[in-house]
Amino acid sequence: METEEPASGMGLQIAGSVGLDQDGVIRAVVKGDIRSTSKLVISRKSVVSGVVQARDIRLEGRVEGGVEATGQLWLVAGSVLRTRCVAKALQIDAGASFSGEFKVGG
Amino acid sequence: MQMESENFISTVCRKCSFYFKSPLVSGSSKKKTHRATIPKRELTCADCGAIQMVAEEAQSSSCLECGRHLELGHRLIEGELLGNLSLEGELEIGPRGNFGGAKARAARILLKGRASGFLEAAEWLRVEGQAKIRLGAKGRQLLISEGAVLEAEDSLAFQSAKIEGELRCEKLMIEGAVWIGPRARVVVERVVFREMTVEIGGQLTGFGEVKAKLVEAREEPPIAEEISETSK
Repeated sequence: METEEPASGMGLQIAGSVGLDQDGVIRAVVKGDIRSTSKLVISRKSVVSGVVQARDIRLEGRVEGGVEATGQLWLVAGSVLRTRCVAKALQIDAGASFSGEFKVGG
Repeated sequence: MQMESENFISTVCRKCSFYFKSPLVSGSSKKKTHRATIPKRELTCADCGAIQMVAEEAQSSSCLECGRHLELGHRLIEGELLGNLSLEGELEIGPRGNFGGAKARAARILLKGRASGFLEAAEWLRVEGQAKIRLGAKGRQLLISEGAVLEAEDSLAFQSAKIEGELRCEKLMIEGAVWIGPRARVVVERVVFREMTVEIGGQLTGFGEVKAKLVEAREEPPIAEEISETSK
C-alpha cells in the first residue's frame, strides 16, 4: 500500500474520531481523536482537539489533546501542541509551541 | 677609590663624605635599560563588569573599579572549600571535592563531585562521574558526559545543553537548544527551552514548555472554541 497516495482532506471539518492504516496527511479540523498505524502529517492550519496516535508524526498544525508516537515525533516551527507528548524520539524546532507532559523513550 | 654601580647618578665619598655627581649623567653615553613589552590581555571583573588590561601571565589581579580580588589561574578542589570563588580560568571539583561556599564563578567548571553553593560557568559546565549541585547553576553550556550523573536540587539555567548521561533536576531552563543523546536519561519537574532533540534511545520525563517569547510570529490556527462551532 505504500505506493498509494496519502489520505488527505482539504478543508474538511470532522466531528468524531479518524482511523488510518496507511501514511496520511491531515488537512482538516478534527474534533476527536486520530489513530494511525503508520506515518502521519498534521498539516498547517489543521486543528485536532483530541489525541493523535501514530507511528511517526510530523506536526505542522495544532493538537490540543496530545500526541502519542510509537516512533518519531517532529514539531516544526509554527506548530502547537498541548497536554501530552509521548514518543520514542523527539525533535522540536525553534518556533514550535509546546506545553505539557513529556514521556520520551523508555 | 670606591666601587659604584654602573649607572650611578651621584654618590658620597665613603672616606671624606664629599658629595659628587657621576660624570656620565649628562653625557650621551648613559646606558638605558630597556624593558621588553609585556604581553597583556583583557580582563572583565566578575562582579562589576569593568574591563582592564592585565599581563598575560598574571595569576591574580584586583578590579580597578570595585577592588574585587580576581583569581586568573585554575583551581582544583579535592576536599571542601568554603567561601566564594571567582576564577577567570578553570575550576575542577574532584570526585571527593565539595564547594561549600555561596557562589563559585569560573570560565569553565568541571564537576565530578559536589557543590553545595551556586555555580556559574561563563563558558561551560561539564559533569563527569557522580555529581550533585544543591543551589543550582547557570552559564553558557551544560555538558553531561556519557555515564555521568547530575542531581540538582534547584534550577539549572544555561544557553544550551548537551546531555549524554543522566540528569535529575527540579527545573531546567535552556535559552536555546537541548540535545539529549541516545544513552541519556533526563528526569525534570519542569523544562523550558527553545528547541529540543531527543535521539532514539534517550529518555525524557517531566513537564515541558517552549519559551513563549521565542515562538515565531505566524498565522495561528483557530482555537478550540472555533473548532466546536465549525463542527456543529
